[in-house]
Amino acid sequence: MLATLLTLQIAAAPATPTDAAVTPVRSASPGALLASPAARKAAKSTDAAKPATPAPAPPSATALSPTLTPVAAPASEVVFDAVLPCGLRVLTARDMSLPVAAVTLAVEVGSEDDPPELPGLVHALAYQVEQGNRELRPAEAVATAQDAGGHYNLATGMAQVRFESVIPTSRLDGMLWLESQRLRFPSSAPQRWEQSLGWAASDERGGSRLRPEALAFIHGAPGLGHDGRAVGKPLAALIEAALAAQLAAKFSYTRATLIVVGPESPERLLERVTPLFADLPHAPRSAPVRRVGPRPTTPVMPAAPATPAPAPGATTEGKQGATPGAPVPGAMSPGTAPPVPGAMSPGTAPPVPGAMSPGTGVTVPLSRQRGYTFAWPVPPTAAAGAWATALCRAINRQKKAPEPEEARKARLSCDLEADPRRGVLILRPSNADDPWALVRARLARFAPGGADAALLQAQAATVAQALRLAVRTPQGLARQLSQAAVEASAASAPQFHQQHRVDDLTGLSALADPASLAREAPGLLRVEDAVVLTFPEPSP
Amino acid sequence: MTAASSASRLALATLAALLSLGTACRKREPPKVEIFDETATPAQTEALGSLAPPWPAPERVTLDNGLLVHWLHEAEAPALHVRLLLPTHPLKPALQGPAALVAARALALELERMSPRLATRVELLPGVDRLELAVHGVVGETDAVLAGLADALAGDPARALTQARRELSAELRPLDAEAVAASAVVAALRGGEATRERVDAAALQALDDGALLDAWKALTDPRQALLLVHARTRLIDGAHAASTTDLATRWRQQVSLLPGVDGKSEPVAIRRLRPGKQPASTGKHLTKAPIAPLLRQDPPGRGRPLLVIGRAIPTSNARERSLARLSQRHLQEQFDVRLTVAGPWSALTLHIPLAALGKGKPVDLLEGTDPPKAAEAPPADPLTRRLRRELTTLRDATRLRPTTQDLFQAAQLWLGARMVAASLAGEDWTALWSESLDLSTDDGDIAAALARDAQAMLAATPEEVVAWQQRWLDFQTSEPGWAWVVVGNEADLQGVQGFLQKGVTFEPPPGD
Repeated sequence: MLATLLTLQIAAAPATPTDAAVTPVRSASPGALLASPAARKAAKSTDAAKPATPAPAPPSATALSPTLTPVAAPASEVVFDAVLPCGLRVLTARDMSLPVAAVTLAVEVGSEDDPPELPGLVHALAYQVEQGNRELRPAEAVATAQDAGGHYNLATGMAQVRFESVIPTSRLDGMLWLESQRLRFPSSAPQRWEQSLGWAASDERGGSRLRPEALAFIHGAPGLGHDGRAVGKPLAALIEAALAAQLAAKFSYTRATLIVVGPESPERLLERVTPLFADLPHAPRSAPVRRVGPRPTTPVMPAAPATPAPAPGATTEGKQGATPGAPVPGAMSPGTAPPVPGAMSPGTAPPVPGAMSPGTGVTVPLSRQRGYTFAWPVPPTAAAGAWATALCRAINRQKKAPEPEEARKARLSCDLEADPRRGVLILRPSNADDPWALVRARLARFAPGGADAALLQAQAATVAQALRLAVRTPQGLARQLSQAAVEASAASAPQFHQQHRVDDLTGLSALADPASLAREAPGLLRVEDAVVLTFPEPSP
Repeated sequence: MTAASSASRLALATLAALLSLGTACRKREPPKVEIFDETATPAQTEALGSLAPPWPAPERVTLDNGLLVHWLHEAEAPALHVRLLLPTHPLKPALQGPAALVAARALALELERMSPRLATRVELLPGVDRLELAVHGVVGETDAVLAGLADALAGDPARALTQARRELSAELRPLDAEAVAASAVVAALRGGEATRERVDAAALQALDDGALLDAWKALTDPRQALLLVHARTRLIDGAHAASTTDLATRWRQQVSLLPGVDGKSEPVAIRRLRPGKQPASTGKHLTKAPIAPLLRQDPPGRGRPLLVIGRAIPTSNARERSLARLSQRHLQEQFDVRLTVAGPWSALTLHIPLAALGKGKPVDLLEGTDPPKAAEAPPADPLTRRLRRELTTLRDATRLRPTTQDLFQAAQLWLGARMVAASLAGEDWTALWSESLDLSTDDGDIAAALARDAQAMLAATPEEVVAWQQRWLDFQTSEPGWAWVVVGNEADLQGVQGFLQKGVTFEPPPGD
């Protein structure tokens, strides 16, 4: 077997660390971030999620005095959460199991923020950020990690870009310094941009089950209605100044979160990070909170069901003249996305047979396949994502109800389009005379005291277990923390300094509390809150 | 199946039944747990600074069935890792190689049966003179996993063996030149047969059921095995006394005598896992008499002509291991150099693909020109000329003094990659413990071995590396102990064979 070992050494990561360091930068598909699929048509709307960036506020004594909220827990269970004067949010946590640290810079920008005339811009810009600047040579981040035997990854998604590295702790300072330089005027040299476009073009297109237009409709975010990985002529034609402006607008520390997980205490890690950003000008946070926006009107809806008053917290669509930014009860209130002019539906929705009992969900002809697809936007928090995963697992494990409650061949399957900010829960009923009734009945069984409440709890426990295993490593914990909600208190306090329990930020606490499903992901159990996608029939 | 093997099985089954009855009559007592304390484990900060795991002193216990257990405790660990190390060196020669691999795969299949129930993942990994089976699960299922292990090892393996052979046959890729050459070189270094160092479809098909069963019995003998556990709980707390006792009761040896140990259980893990005798040096040189015989192997149909040069190197202490590793890492920047550490000795091989020689390099200026006025005339064959140039470059590289920075970077890269890879793979301490076993000379050293090796590697100087390379790697000045194998068609390699068989000669230095 020794010969086998010698032969295997080519592929063995520890034996040949350079082999572990593969291609320079690849867009990852680690499960959390999924790229949007090829677009059928470009979005007609403006960049909906572009944050309204207020003028930088002058630093004040209050702003510079962070408020510390201690948490009574061991250091390994605490996350320090601070916003630095430069507007960067920092999350630090401890993991002592191996002398390894994870450093992740998560920028709250994604293909959703592509200008309509420049589809795929953010994806390509993510590569451009790897091209260095006055302090960093091209691909220096990759080299810094891999030269130390580390691992480097770039992940781009619909609303988040992550620069992830796992390094030996001996190289932590070097990596932190690098992250403190990365977003300072990234190179906009034409030859580098050309190379970045080449890298972006070689990335795999995502395999989403949903059309981009459907995704945009479900989230009420018109910016999602295009192929986020497109590399077209408009991008190649960008002049240097425009590129620099786009880089500055979209990749700034004010909309980024630096996550550091290492063997030191969270407090000490924060102390190592803070001085590196002290020379940056003070700026307020500008990370957008990705809420569900108002959905566009769909004028051609022949089978519009009778619409009773929506339940509290329900996402609303089809409301003429919905006010942008108007608060909606519940966690998934519409954001600041403006309404999209015109319909986004390429065809017409098929009529709902008279025997069916459609609920209040909006039906739009944007499905990729025939039949009915029920879709719910998943709120942009780790807890909501965890609950959506548990719910999906539970639905796929539900037993059929006996006839005549359910037709003999009726089936209901669930898929989750996982994304830290723009996730979608998808249900597809099949062979059911009345899909609405089937979905409603199945979801009702998960209600407290329902027939499948225990099943949902069991799946929540399974997801929690998987989550615990995932956050056991620095990279897993850093990745999960990057999915923690964009800080809500940032709006009220320019800088803050808090402590959280790891379980609170990763969704583990929420999974332990059955009542938190309704709190963290309201609407996921209500048919009325679903967007029902149908296959577009050609207009007569 | 032969009558003899049936009778043998019956006899063994009877013996096993008697043994289990005997066990059942005895009063069951929880195993006595010892804590490793021969060598202090490195302090946490020291370990982290040395790029080594900060593990505490592990517990060890020898169960009633002779199984040796090393139990690694990590507070708050959510995952459970169980690794069974099954040495292959005590097996009869006929049972080593393919038969042992099928038996290990069969055990993996048996263990996978519990996967849906316990959400575990099973891995089968080759090691030096051993096969390793790892089960990864969650810490709450520790007892269930131990029970599953007992189920797998106490059951009838016949079906699993058949399935394992079928699956391995389907999965096996045809041998390539690399596998043929590596197995032949290792066999030459160890003094064995090349067929035992590799697995091919024909060897799998040639195994009969009796041989597979014999391999299973011998390989899964608890008196030879080592069980590593990485869990949140401690063995000494007694939380798993029932499951370990159950494991010891149900998993009994099925062979009476094992070669070398007189059927007794060896309490020292290192001695269990390593053959008592180290391979003797081949006593051969590459450049002067006695010259190592050049073995030529026919190409297996895949892969291009290849020359593999190898040697065994003593690595009985951290300094020697560190220098060997640093040299390999340094040379690997230019050449394909591989090193496998097997405790007190290591195998180092140089892989030279003959077809690729000269690719991407300037035009061979020697071709078509008059030979230089050197002591040795250059070979006429272009391939041989390019090979001579490559060997000259290799020799020169072993004489070159690396900078301190080069060595530091090589050490950092190696040590860092080891820890990062372990982290990305789920932070399984049993995998690192297994690696640490190969760096230890005694059980008491295991916990500190990674840290000590890391420190030794970081402390190595360029002068030490050059001296070490001259002693072990320089083709002209090194100690004897080389072996080499060339894979390719005889017609294509006549020139190369003629050149090497007379002993390597080198290009004269420029200007001569």
